[in-house]
Amino acid sequence: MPSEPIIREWLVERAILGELPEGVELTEAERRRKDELQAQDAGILRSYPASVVAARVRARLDEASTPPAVPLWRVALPVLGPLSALAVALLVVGLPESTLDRPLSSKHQPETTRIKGSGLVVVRKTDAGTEALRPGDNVAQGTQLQLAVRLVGPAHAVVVSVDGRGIVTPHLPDRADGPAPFLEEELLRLPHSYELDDAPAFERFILVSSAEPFESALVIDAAEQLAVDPAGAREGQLVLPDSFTQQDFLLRKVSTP
Amino acid sequence: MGPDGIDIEAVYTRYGPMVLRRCRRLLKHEQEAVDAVQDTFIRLLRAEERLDGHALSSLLFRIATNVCLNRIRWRRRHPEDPDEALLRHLAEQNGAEDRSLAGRVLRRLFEQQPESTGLIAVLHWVDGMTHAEVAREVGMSVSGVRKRLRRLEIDARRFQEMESKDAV
Repeated sequence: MPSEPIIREWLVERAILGELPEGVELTEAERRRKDELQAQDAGILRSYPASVVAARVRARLDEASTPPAVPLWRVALPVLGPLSALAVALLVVGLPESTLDRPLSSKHQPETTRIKGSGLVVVRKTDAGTEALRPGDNVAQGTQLQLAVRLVGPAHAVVVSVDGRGIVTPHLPDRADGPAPFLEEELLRLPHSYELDDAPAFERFILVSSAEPFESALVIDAAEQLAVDPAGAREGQLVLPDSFTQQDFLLRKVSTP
Repeated sequence: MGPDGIDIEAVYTRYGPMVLRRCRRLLKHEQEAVDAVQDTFIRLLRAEERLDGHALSSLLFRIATNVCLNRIRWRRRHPEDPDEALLRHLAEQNGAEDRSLAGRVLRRLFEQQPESTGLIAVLHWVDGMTHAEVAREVGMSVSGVRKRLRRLEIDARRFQEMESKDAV
């Protein structure tokens, strides 16, 4: 048992606010603590003024609730359509033969349900070749991942990841702007493998697809907004129009021995 | 005024110091605590958690605790081990047999338990609330709270045993 009397800070705080539950009384130590804390209040409000905090809170709320700006494609569809197709063509032509086009390691055949539906396919590079990962698998810093996008039909798609530090990384396209590539293949291996850094806790890949063209910046912005909150980064949905499909693939980061 | 007709400045002026102290106590990091205060008021304004007849101080205290727990979960594997302070609270105030068990409890809290269990555990073990007080805070029955805490302890002990076996 603790030797010093426990000060119930939560009750002390309520006493300061005059919201102490009926019938509850503070101990002598808690009354002294109340005086100490009350003396801090003015200093806290000077250091962090209400006007400044309120403005920041309002701004963050506005950022989160503002619907995405009208995408460029709505006004420039005739131009962007061919550009998207060109981007995809370049992407495909530049690809080396994919390990994903061949059967994966026989020891780790992916589940049929995952490979047949649309979504992300993630494989880990190993000394022996490749190993298919499942959502929730453990991975460590330094792991080399190869991503692929599986679609049930042609679509415009963007892939980003959010890590445990709230860092957003674009994977498809590998830059934060430009149109979302139009994918016609059933399975597209991304052109670059990805090495996990020392970000803690998790690495979450998110595939956003749509039948209509869109700017990848829309997804990046939404992901950065999501990444502000650690819980959101791990589990939340991107704030995007309903016509967008979102699928994620979360990997748990474990410490390297 | 914010959504739901809440005057943010007025609410912050009244409750902000309490919320900041709560966040400082759990996070032990000034800038993170300041950010967590903003997160807390954003959650309030988004009406993610309702008053449900509770005093606003109670609601904000609960939201701030959840915000901080989420932040601690997020940074748990950071080399600075910033949840050491919370671990110490658990070890000292829990009355648990030893620090090791408290560590297991904490680890389970931050890995697999739902947010509400984390809140219950912190209110009980860190803030020293009785089961009845926790129950009132989180809107559960006393037996429900007791059950959650018991389950958490059992889970932590089992985890500890598994780790011990692995170490042999």
